[in-house]
Amino acid sequence: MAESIAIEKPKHMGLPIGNGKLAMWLFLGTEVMFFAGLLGAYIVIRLASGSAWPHHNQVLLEPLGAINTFILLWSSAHVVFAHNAIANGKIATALRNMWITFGLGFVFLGIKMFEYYQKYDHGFLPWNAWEHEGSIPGIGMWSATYFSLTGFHALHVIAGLVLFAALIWTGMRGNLSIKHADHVEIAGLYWHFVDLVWIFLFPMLYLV
Amino acid sequence: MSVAGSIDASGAHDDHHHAHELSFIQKYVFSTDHKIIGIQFMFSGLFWLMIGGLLALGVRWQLAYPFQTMPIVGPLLFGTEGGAISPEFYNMLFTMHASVMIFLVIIPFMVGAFANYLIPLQIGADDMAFPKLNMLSYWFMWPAFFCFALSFFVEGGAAQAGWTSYPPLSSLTWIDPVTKAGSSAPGAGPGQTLWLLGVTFAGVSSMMGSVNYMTTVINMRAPGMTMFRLPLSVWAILITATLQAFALPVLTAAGFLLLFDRTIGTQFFIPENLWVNGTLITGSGASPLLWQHLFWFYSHPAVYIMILPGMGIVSEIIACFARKPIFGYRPMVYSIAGIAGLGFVVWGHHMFISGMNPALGLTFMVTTIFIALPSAIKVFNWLGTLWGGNLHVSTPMLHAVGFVSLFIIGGLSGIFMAATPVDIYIHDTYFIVAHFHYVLAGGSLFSIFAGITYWFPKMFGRMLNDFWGKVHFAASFIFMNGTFFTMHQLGAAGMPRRLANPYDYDYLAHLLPMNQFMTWSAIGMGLAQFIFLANIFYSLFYGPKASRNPWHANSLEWLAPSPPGHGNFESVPVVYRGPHEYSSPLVKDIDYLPQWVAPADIAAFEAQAKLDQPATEPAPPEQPSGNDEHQA
Amino acid sequence: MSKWAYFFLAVPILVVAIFGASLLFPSLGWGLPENVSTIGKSIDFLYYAILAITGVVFVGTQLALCWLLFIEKGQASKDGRGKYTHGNHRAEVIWTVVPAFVLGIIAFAQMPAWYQARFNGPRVDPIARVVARQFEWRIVYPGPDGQYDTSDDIHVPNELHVPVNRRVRIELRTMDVLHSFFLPHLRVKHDAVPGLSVPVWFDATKTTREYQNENAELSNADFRAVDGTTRLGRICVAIDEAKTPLTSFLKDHLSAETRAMLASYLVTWNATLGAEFEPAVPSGLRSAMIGELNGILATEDLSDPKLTEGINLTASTTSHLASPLGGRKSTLLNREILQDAFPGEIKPLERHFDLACAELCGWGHYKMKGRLIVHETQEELDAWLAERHAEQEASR
Repeated sequence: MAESIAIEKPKHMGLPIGNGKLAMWLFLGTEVMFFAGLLGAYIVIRLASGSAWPHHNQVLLEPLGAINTFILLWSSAHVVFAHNAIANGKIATALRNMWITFGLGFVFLGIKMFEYYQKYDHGFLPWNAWEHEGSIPGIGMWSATYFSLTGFHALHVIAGLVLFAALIWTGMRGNLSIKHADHVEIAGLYWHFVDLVWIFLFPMLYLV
Repeated sequence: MSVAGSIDASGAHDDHHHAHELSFIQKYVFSTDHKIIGIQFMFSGLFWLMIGGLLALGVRWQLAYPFQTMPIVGPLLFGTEGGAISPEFYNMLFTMHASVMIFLVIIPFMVGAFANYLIPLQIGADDMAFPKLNMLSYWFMWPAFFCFALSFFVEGGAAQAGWTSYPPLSSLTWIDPVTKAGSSAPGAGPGQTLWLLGVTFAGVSSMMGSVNYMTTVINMRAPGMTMFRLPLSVWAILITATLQAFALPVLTAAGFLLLFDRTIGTQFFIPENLWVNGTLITGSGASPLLWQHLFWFYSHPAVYIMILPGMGIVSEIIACFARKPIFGYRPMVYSIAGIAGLGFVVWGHHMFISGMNPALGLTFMVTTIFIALPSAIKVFNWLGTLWGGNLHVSTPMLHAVGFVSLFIIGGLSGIFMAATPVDIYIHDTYFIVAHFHYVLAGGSLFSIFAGITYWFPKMFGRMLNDFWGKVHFAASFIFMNGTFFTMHQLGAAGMPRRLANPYDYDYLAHLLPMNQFMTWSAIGMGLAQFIFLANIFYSLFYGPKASRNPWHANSLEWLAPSPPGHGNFESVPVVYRGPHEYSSPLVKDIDYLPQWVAPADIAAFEAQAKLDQPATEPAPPEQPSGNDEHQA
Repeated sequence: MSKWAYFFLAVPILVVAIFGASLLFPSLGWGLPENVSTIGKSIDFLYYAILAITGVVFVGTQLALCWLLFIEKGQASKDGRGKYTHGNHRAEVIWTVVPAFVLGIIAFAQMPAWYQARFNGPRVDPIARVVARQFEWRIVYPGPDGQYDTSDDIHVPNELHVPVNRRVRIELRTMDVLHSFFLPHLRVKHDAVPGLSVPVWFDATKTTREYQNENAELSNADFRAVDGTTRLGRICVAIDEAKTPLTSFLKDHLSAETRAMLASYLVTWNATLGAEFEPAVPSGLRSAMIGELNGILATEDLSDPKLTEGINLTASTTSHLASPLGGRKSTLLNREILQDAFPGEIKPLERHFDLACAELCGWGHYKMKGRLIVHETQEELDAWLAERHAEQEASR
């Protein structure tokens, strides 16, 4: 290998993005694979069941799913506003937008809890849905896949809310500043991912 | 999770010198220093290696003296029955042997011990990108240790469905705990659930580690350390980390689904209308094949995770002790990438006769056959590195050469099973067992020995005893071959795996003497490891002190003191050349030219280095006034 | 020159010796068992071809490794340095293209065999349904009406009967967990998957009778080395209960202690497969009992027809009883004793085409023994089926 000349001004070796952001992208890659595993299983199970599968009208309310989709998209928009604001030094705006995102996240979870309650009411939980197998073929597997997919998604939403809670806490104590711009962006990346997973889940569960 | 700031334009790192003294707990237990974490992985790995080995000896004993009194275990656990183990116990032995070795020994060694210890040192960084995350990744192994250990003591014993944990055997837990109705195995109790939890914890630990390693290697290299100047050990670990990060989550997902099948009544992997243990399992269900696909999607890349870092380590060692550059550095890098890339699309070769569509089997066959190619290229390049070398046959070199010899056998035996029609016959026989033990026990394990013996001086500032190191190598190599080679014969004769007593079958009855020979070899191999452990523990306290660079190697870790302090290097190193510039024409009287020596300083470096002893003898202890072997 | 070169040289030498012995001395049984199927010919050919190719590569690379170690210092003997080269592009190309080419040949060469094994089955009705369960093979024939799932189906445990030289199809199913249907002599294997009914095609090119005749010699040879530690098989003491009630035989001849201990254990006597002591019987007790039987047979006057009339002895020893740690080398009914007691009566162990389970299915996985019986003609098979059917009807 040819001898190289001494480097006068040692420069940063690596990508022009910080460690935190790079790590978040890589981590999101792993999350994509996790949900790919779950979604792949769902697709295989659904296709193999053929017509022995509940119609979505029997088990879900589309409007609720649609509202939840809209809520997540709206909250993602506010994350972008928050990042723009903090990168330009507008701390108060950023904090306000993060509060909106946080709140919308809670609304999402609230609607989800309502939906879960409805399943409980109808006896469609994974451990008792089988009892309805006679009248609604496939309800057992439906329940298993629905709760696995939406349950793990909800857990990821909660994790995202924890991230924002940490940033909001810093803001409420008056310590939020422009040097947190990267943190907001990283939290935003995670939140967009959570949103993206829902964009896949909604049609696959509620519409087909 | 702490987020390290980006390095500014002048290359200076944030100041990491701590003014306060760290307590013992902070320094050695809950340390965030990658070196300590790496060593923690190493010692827990060695502990579980002994446990996994004991479990293997149990398996071997049963195969040599079926249903006769097993030493120690028999009278202790089966006293009322005359000391012979039960068949369920045998199933548990091989299940836990494999699970412990894979999830608690080899993977943590490769992507825990070596990755942690080497990456920052070899790229010239002061620590990992996320030291606290790194610490968490080690401590997440402890719940895994706990789950595995506890599983031996719960009702029904530890998991017994094979490390592959195929449902329905692994998912049908009993409906009535007293009669065990509905259970596919009397032991399908809490032990199997604990197994799943343990594997999940181990998985989370390695995923944390992988993200850390990738970020560190990509973003924290010292000035001048371009990607193609990285030591091959770093390349191997980087690519392994991508495998780990992007394949493991699928197993995590599958593990949760199986856990749900066992605990909350789902039937992801249990079809309907099975009659199990007198009970009809109703309700709609999916397919056991779904588990196999999800499981092997990760577990096939897992085997490459277990070998690739070893290949990187062996490359470094062979170059060092042949005193010449690695033959074909770029082909070696591309081969590692090729193995990893192809490794994602060969998982179906575990399922050729599983009920999977045979046409799909054809596609997996083609990809599997071709994954032999990059491995072959690597073997030829290792031979090319030895050719024309000035060989110093030290203990690390012996282990590395042993790796090559054993990997050749393991790799070639893989071609038999890549041929699908032949696999019809040898699938689930001892031919497969022979293959994977050659690549794992022959390959990975010997590369671990090589790595430990090579980097021990750097880790602990002491030299291992070379004579006993060679004795350990020779004994391990001989007994390893004695234990595993004739498994090829057993497999060809059609002996299936996982049989508590194969000799009940007429066509296998004659294989007992061979199995007895193998058992005694296995006992020999086990005993040989005590030599290794004794060498390690003795040398930790009484070994001769090591200099910075006792092997006269070129990569950056040999610039740091032995052992390196917190922050690793006295100042940020700058890299001027590749990692294997042995016998470089730029130096006349010494045969190595480290990466960190600036061109202007070569003459001074050479003058100082000539005073050192030759590479295989212990270098003189550290000069207190500090050698000027490095330049900022 | 490094003496380690000789150390590593042991590897190719021993490997070639072991594989060589496996190929040159088939009686060792270290290689593929005898093949009695058409697909097996293709599979065996592929196996040997790959063995040859990998064998050449193996010997070549191992010898190269040893040679490089042997010369050790190489060019360095001149100037004390290694050869400073980073590689050779031409070498890389050669050792990429040539192996790729060879691998490609292997990939294509095997496709016909895979097609034949898994795709190309004749669309015939299945001759039988093989239903695996924990821990036996339940084989179902359609019976006189030719339909499955009717009341005249013939159920046979653990024995699959087929005619010779005909490609038959079975339907492979399982009642509970995964199992695997493995006929080693026919090179047939497929998993039995819950929820699936898998068609498996195979043909047998040799009848069971022919196979047994050819292997009679071999079984006799089993007995030359009877010493209780290494010889294999099973000694069956089959006692016809109607003629010589087991309990009174044992009562008269075994010691009180043995009888008392034995009373609490299950011992199965099976006239066809021979007697097996359940593993639950502790090895110490087994040895004691067998020792006593040995002693009895050696010393008792066995010419008394009352004693021998209902006792059939078929051959083999079991390895269960040798214990190197215990130092006890008891032999169960070795052949010399048998030969003296029952001249002309000893029949060699009957070899069969084994059916094994090759997928872990629980604690009894090792006990899922079955056998494939290959009949000379379809008529013979039909006759056997008719007999079974009659027996079934009679026992209703």
